[in-house]
Amino acid sequence: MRFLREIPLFLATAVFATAAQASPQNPPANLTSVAFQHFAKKLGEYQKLRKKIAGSAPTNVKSAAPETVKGTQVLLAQKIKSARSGAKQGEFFDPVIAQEFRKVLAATVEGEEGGKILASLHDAQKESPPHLGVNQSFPQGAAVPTTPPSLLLNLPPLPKELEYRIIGRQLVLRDADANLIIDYLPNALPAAKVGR
Amino acid sequence: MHYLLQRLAAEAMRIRKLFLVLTLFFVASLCPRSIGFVPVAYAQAQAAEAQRVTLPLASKSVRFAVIGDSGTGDRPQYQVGEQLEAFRKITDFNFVLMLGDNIYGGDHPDDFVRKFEQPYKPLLDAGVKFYASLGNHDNPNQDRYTPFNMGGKRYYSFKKGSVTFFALDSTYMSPEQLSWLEEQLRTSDTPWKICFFHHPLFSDGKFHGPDLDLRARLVPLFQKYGVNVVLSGHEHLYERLKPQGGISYFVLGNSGQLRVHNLRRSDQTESGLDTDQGFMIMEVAGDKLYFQYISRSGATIDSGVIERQAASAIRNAQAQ
Repeated sequence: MRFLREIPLFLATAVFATAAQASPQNPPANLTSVAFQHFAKKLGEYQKLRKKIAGSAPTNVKSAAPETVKGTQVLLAQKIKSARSGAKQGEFFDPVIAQEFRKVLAATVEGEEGGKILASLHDAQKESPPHLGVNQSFPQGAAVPTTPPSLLLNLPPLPKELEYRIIGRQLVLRDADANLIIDYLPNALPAAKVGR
Repeated sequence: MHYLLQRLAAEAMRIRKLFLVLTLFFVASLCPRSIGFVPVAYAQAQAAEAQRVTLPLASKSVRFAVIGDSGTGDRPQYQVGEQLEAFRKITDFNFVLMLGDNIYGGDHPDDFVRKFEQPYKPLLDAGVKFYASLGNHDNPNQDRYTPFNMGGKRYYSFKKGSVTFFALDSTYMSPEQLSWLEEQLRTSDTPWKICFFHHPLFSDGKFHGPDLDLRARLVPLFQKYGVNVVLSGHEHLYERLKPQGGISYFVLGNSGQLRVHNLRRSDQTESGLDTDQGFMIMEVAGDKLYFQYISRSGATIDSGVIERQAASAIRNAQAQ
């Protein structure tokens, strides 16, 4: 019976040993993959919340008057804020996920396409960036920085209502429909490349 | 002696004043709109220009107008709107492409009225349809605003006669959008393919310049599937570039905004304007696309014709 009780411990040790053995061969891919799976799970939970909210704040309006366009956004933002009232920076970008994002971003801007990406980012940052805060809206009328497509190709996919934006060196996760910052990752891009 | 010197000094002052007045008069005649001074010759030229249409106005052709960075709500936007209506009456274009930054500085219901519905009221009343693409100053929720005809989509396509138009969201060129574009271009069966979006792939504007990363992703698709014309805004000027790899590129970001002296002409610049606002009208008739760029005073600044290149020719141009 004692032997049976020790089976889970044995299995966990075996898995850990296998991972430890495999990691020197290809450590970033494994860790990144696990971290991004975890990130995808968090996104899935957010989507569930959004679906629940959508019942009272219609987001699939295809044609509307200006009042409805604005009203829908404001209502949706209020509902999300209320449902995530205690949300803090790092809920999506927890320390493990954050580290993997930073690695991927650094590799992307230091890679073959890096020069073009940085030039594109530099232009997008010409207008003063907004102050960042979870559950805050992007300022009305402020330019939203363009995210270089080569950067997007290297980041984990997002549900259609969310998007990545780069503000200075920070990576922002934004709910575009609600114009709301869901989370952000400080120092996401290497200072040596972006300079801020 | 002292009296003589005094007289000379007084005379010099008088001449200096006269010189100043003449200089002011000369400067005023150079930029009549900016200080509200319209010499007779200028007004006459303007009236004559207002009648000048270089499009052939062929039967069964596709005619449309193009505006970019328009939504300021300021006087120049309204003046461009007046010229659009004057030219619509002559050319009978029935839709307008919007190259982004459609509503600046906020998107309250009043902004949509002041920065879109009022300046283009005569066009809207005449049944002219607007097809918008999103700029970096636009709320993505504009895709639901009925008069922008985006159908709730940030990127979309539509057909008019022999032309398929592809409206792209260049502020967020996601992998999904790139896949969608490739599929749309691959299956498009019209002779003409025109893409329009906010950020220019080629530009001699000093403030922004071209978006190189976007160019690296889009140009290979455009060339592979034979896109003929690309229209962009963002840079607050007008520029027509020499064809790049068989594709004609226009930058038109001064239908409301204007950044004076922002164009640094280069070998690739064919024509440009950075001292006034304006818009463009286009006509596709058979294998020819006619274009005419008109300033807010009604003067024709640029016009010409683009011969349609076969997709294979554009692909070959890529290889050169």
